[in-house]
Amino acid sequence: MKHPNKRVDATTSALAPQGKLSRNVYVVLAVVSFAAVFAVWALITNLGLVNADFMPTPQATVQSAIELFTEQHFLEDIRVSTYRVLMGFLISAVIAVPVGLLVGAYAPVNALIEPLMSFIRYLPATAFIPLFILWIGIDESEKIAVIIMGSLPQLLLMVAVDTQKVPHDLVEVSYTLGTKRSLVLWKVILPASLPYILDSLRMILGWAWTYVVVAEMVGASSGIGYMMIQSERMMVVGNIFVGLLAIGLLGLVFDCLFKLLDKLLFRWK
Amino acid sequence: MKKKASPQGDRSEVLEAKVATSIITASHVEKVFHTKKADVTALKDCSLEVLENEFVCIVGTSGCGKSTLLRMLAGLDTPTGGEIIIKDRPVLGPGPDRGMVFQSYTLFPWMTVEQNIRYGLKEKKLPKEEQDAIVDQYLDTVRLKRFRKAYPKELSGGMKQRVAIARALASKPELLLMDEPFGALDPITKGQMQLFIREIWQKEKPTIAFVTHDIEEAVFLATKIYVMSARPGRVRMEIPVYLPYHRTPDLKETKEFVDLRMQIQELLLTN
Ligand SMILES: Nc1ncnc2c1ncn2[C@@H]1O[C@H](COP(=O)(O)OP(=O)(O)OP(=O)(O)O)[C@@H](O)[C@H]1O
Ligand SMILES: [Mg+2]
Repeated sequence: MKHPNKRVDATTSALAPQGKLSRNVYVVLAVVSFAAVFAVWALITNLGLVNADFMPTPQATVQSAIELFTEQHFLEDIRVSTYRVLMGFLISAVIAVPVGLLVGAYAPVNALIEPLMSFIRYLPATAFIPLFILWIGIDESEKIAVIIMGSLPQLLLMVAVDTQKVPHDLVEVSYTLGTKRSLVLWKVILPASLPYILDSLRMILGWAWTYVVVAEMVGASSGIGYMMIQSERMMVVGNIFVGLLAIGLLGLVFDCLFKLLDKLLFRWK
Repeated sequence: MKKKASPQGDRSEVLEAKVATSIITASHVEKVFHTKKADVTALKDCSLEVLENEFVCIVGTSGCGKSTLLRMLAGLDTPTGGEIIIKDRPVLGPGPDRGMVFQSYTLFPWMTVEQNIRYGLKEKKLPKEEQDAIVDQYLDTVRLKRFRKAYPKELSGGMKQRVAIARALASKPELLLMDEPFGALDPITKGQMQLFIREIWQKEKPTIAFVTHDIEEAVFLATKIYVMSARPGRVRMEIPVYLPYHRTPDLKETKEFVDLRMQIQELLLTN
């Protein structure tokens, strides 16, 4: 072995499967990918390779953004959409997390709820929009209902799986230390699965954005989705791009918040 | 009832133990696992006795039902036949009177070392000051004072098992059950841990039932060894260990030690 260091590196090097990358390189690569997409976009639109009616230049998009924010109260649309997403998400979480824990921990509860939820999960939430409009109308609660319909069953099943990831050994050792069976869910399974649950919540919040935008395209009078469908009718493609970017950025912000929360709460991981 | 420490190992250590109270009495224990494919008889007609303050090692080949036996002693599994009495009471389920250390690392990962050791004391609802005193005492015993605020992920395998031992002992169980606790450790650390657990035993005399397939480990640690047969597991022989009371690593080279080791090895080979 002439180069022992090299050999050791080989399995953890950035290019090996499951290899590691330094933080700085990571950030650089992430920025590069954003820049590349942006550059392609700027290039093909400015060179006139695509019809400007269908794809705006970055400059035109910025122009649209300025108009949206200053003249068409886009901030209000963002606020409304965010409110709907968060309400739908919170209501789903408040129900799905405790019930999911019970489904994951107790076989009878599992038998009662898991198969049913697995069925409901396959019904596309967006397919409920006509029904919800009939039942609830086109106000806020209808949008929130669509989000709940899409998020709750998924989240519940994910939380159930999360609790089942907790090694049974931990449960057993807690019994030998005097933990009562009725409290083991609270004292062992919940804290042990909390990081997984947080991650599931993060994923679900991402999906909630999809549902809100679709819900806002049907029978709505505000929200990012509403703005986008209106812009489509009036052929203002720049606005649609602003809407897309806004959703992407909001998603990124919430994702970062969740990752921050994860770092703060679970230093033990 | 604490037994006097005799300076050298001799018959008296064992004979003295005979008058001590019985902690485990397992008679004709049977365990059949009903699986989809077939019924697996893990243990059959397995009987043994562990007395107060004894350090009993149970050796047997892989799959002979050692873990199954220990889990039943802990109350984590129920026998399909026979009877297990722990301190005059049949085992009805797991409880803090029987501490357990697993081969896999079972520290609560979200708790610091200190919180892990405190866990059982909190469950017992001991007053805070008493908890503090016991936690300090055991942090000292397992020499991890410097790591009291560390999380399990920051510890080496040997350190994790030391915390697990401290956590189990802190609840002052009548019986400490250990299932190959050093099985995942490297030979050097393993040797250190063996010295360490023997020291603890000499100091505090907890009653220990220790399962292992490492014969050397069993001979080094035990005051008495039970040798199990291959599946279905059954106790083949009870072997008292007449080795010096104070055990050091060089004991492993002595003739008495090697003879006993070979004797048990023979037994296991001629199943
Ligand atoms: N839950 C179970 N279901 C079915 N069979 C089981 C179960 N647990 C153990 N067994 C079987 O019982 C036998 C004894 O298993 P056990 O784990 O007690 O052995 P062991 O002596 O601890 O082995 P090792 O040294 O490998 O840990 C094995 O044949 C195993 O396959
Ligand atoms: Mg085993």
